[in-house]
Amino acid sequence: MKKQDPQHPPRLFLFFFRWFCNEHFLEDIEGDLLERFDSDLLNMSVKRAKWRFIKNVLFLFRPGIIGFTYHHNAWLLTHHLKISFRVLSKNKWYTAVNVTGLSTALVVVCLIALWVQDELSYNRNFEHYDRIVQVYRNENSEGQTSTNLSQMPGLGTLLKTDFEPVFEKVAMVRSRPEDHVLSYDATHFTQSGLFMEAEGPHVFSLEMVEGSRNGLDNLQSILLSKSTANKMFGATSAINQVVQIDGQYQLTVTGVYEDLPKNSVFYGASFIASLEWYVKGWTTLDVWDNSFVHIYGQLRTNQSVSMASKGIEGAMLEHMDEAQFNARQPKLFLLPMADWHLHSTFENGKLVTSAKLKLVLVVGVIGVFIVLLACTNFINLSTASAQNRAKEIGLRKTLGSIRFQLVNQFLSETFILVLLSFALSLVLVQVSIPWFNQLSDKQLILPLKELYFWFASVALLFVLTLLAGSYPAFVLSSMRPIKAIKGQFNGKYNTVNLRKGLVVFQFSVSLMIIIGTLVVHDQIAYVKKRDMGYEKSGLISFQPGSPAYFSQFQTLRHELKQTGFVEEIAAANYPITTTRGNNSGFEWEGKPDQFDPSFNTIWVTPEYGATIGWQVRQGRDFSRVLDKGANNIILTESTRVKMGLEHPIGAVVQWKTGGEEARYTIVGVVEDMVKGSPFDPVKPAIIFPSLRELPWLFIKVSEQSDFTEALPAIGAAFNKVIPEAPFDYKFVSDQYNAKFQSEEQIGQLTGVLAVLAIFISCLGLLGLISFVVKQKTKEISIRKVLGASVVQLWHMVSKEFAILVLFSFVVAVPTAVFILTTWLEQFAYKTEIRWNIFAQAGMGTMALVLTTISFHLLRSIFTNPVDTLKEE
Amino acid sequence: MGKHYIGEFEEIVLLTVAVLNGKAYGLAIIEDLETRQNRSVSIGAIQTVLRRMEDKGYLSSAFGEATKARGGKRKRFFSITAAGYKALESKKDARLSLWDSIPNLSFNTQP
Repeated sequence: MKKQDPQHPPRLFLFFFRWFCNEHFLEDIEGDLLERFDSDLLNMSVKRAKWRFIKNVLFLFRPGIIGFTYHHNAWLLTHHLKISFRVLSKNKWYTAVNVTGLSTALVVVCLIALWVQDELSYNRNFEHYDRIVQVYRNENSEGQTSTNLSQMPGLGTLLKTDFEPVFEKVAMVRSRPEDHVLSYDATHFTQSGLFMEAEGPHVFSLEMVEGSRNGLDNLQSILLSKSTANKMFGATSAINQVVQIDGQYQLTVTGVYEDLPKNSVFYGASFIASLEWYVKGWTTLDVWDNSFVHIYGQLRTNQSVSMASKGIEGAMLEHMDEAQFNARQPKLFLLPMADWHLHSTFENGKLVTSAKLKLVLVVGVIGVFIVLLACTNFINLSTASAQNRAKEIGLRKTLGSIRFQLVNQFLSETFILVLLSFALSLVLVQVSIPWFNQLSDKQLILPLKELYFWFASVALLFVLTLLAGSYPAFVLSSMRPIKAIKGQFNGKYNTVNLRKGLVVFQFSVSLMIIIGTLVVHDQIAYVKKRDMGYEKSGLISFQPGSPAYFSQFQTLRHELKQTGFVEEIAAANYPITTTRGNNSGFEWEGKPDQFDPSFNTIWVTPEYGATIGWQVRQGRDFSRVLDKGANNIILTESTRVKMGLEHPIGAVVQWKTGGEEARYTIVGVVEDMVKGSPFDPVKPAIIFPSLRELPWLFIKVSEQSDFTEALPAIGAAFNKVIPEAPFDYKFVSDQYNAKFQSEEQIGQLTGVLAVLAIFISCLGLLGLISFVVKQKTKEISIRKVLGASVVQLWHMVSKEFAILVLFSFVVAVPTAVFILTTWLEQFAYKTEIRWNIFAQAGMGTMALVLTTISFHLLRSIFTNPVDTLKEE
Repeated sequence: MGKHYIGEFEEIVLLTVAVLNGKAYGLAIIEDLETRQNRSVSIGAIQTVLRRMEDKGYLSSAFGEATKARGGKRKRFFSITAAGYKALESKKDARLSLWDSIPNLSFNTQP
C-alpha cells in the first residue's frame, strides 16, 4: 500500500542492517522495521520518522542480533577474488596503469611517512625524554622581545642550588660545539665536541661502551664517542689513554659512549669534556656577566613543565643590577625536550612555525595530494570502463545479485589492485631509500620487522581501497539491469562530467606543484646571484686550533706565499659565514638619544680585505703600517647608513667596552658583506684591525692555480710551520652554499613530487584516452570514410582534453600565486614571481598532455576503417 | 529460582506474548508494551530478548503469511512454551509467597 510512497527509509542504514543482521532474523526484523517506519510516517514528519528508523537500526547493532554468515560470505569471497583476477588480467592495460599510479603514490606515502616519523621522533633516544627541559630567556632588545638560549653560568649554578625541589639534575653545556684538535701518538684529528658539567652524561643518559657516566668528575678527563675512539685508538681500549687537546693540554679518556643518533640534539659530538675544565683560568661557573652556556635540567617527577617554568621565571632578578634588569626585563622559561626540534622558533617572544615544521607540512600536504591523484586515476578509469562492465552488471542483477554483493565485487577488485601496488611499492621503496636519504639528509630504513609497520600498512590499504573503490563501486552497482544490458547510459550513470572534473582536479594540483617548484628554484637562483660583498672563490678557511699558530702568523704568511699558490692570508676572530659577535653601546656625533643599535663587530688582521676581496667604497683599506698604534675602524655601507654619516671618513666613533671607553676613527667604508643567511637583510658591521693573532685563518688561493696541486702544497707549507695542527681546510663557498640547504631541500623535494604528480596525472589520462578512443572507434572510422583528415580527427578528440588543461590552468594559477606570495613573504631578499613561469608550466603541461593522448589517438586514427566497422 | 530464573523485562515480555495469544510478533509486542505498560522499547531491545527466550526454550516462533505490507516481509509470531509457562509461574509463586509473608505492621512504619 505504501509502495508508491516517495518516502522510503534511509537506504544506507537499511543496507547496514542487512549487512550485519543474522540471516535467520533478517526477514521478520526488517519487516518490523519497515512497518514501524510506515506507521511513524503517518504520525510524524518524514525527517523524524527517518531519524527513528536510524535509531532503531543502531539499537539493533548488538550481540544478540549481529550474525555474519561466514559460510555464505566465504563462498562469495572466493567468487569475488576469482572474478577480480579474471577482470584484471583481461584488461592488462587498465591494470598496469592503475598499479603503476597507485604504487607510485604508495612509495611517496611510505617515504614521507618515514620521514615525518623521523622528524617527530627527535631526541626520543634519551631516557629522560619526558623530563628534560632547556632554559630559555625572553628579554627586551631594541623594542622587541628576543628569545635566547645562551645563559650566564651563574644562572645554572643558581638553579642547581636554590631550585632543588624543581630539578633533579641541572647540567650546563657550552653553547655550541667547538672544534678542537685531539692528538694521540703524533696523529692529529680536528673534532667537534662539547663541554658539559659532570651531571651532563647522566641527564642525557649516554650509553657507555666503556667507562662510566661519572667520567667527567675529574676535570682532566674526556669522554670519546665510539667512532672517535675507533679512529684514534683502533682496536685497543681507549680507557686511561692520555689525549692531547690543541697541542697543549693532557686529558685522560675516562669513557667511550655510543655515538648519538642522527635524529638527536648533540648529533656529531665526537668528544665530551668538562665545562669546569674549559672555563678554568678565565672565569668560573657562578659569574653573571657573560652568556655562554646552555642550561639543561631534568625535572623531578612531581613537576610539570609549566609549573616549573612559572617557578623560575624571575630567578635572575636578584643577580642583575636594577637598571639592566628594568631595561631588559628578562623572563626565564623552560622548553620541554619534545619541542626542541620542531617547536623552538620564536619571533618577538611568540612561538612561530619553524622552517623544519614548514617543510614537514609542505611535503605532507603534497604527499596527500599525490595519493588523491592516484585515487582519482582509479575512479576515472573504473567509471570510464563502466560501459564495458554494464552487461556483466545487468546480468548479475537479473540473476539475483543484491547491490551489496556487487559493491563487494568492485571493492575486492580495488583491493587486489591496491595489494599488487603495495607489493610493488615495497620493492620500489627499498630501491629508492638510499637516494631519498641523500636528498633529505636522513638515515631512514624501512621497518619491515616492526609489527606497527604492518598494522599501518594494512590500515593504509583499507583506506586506499575505500578511497579509490567506493565511488566506482556504488555508481556501477546502481545501474538498472535493463538499461545496463541495453547499454543505455544517461542521468546519474553518465559520469563524463565527473571524470572531466577529476581531470581538472588532477591537472590543477600538478600545475600548482610545478609552478611552486619553479618559483622555489627561481628564489634560490636569485639569492645565489646576490652580491656577497666578498669573493668566495678560492677562499679557504679554518681554525688551526693550535697555540703554536698564534706566534707564527707572519712566518706562516711568508711560507704560504712562497708556494706561489697563495695570494694572501689573513685572520679574524670569527668565520666569515656567520654573524657572531654583536655589540651595542656605540656613540657618534649626531646620534639620536635612545638609539642604541647593535652592530656585528669583527676583529681582523690588516690583510683581511685583500684576502676576502671586499670592495672599498670610500676611504682606504687597513694597512699594517698606517694603522699601527691607531684606533682605526672600517664600516660597512649599511652601518654608515644606519649611523647617518654623510662624510664618514675621519669621523670618530666612541665605544665603551669593559668599563674602558675608546675613540675610533673611521678610515674606510666597504660594501656590505652577506655573512648570515643570504635570504635576510645584511647585518651592519664594524671592522676593527688587530695585530694580535686571531683564531680563524683565511687563505686566498690564486685564481689561476690548479687546486689539486695547490692544496697539497699549501698543506705541506702549513705543516712545516705548525706541525701540531692538521690542515683541515674548508672552502668558504661550501660553507656559504650550506646556507641554502633548507630551501634547496624544499626545492628538490617539491621537484621530485612535481615529476611524480604529473607522471601520475598523465598516466591517468593515458588510461582514460584509451577508453575514450575505444568508444569513439566507430565514430572516427565513419568520419574517416566520409573524408575527415587525420588532423581534423586528432583535433576533434584532443580539443576536449586541451580545454580541460586550460581550465586547470585557470584554477591553478591564482591559487599558486596566493600560496607562493605567502611563502616568499618570509624572505627579506626575494625574487618576483615571473609571469613566464606560468607560461612555461602551462605550455609544458599542455604539450605533455597532447603527446600523451596522441599516443593512443593516432593509433586509432590510422587504423583502417574497414577493420573497425566490419564488427557488426 | 535456580534454572528458571528470568529477569523483570523478560517476565514482562513473556507475559505480553501470552496476553497477545498467537498474535505476538515483534512490533505488536512493542505496541502492547507502549499502551499497557506505558513503556517505550526499541526494536533492538525487544528482539534480543525474544531470541534469548527462544534459545532458552521459553518461546517458540513461526513465520506468518507474506503480505504486501512490510515490504513483503513475513511476520514471525511467538508463542509461549510449557517451559516458559513454568518459569512465569515460579516467578509468580516466589512473588506471592513474599507478599504473603509481609506482616501488616511494616506498612505503617513509613511516614
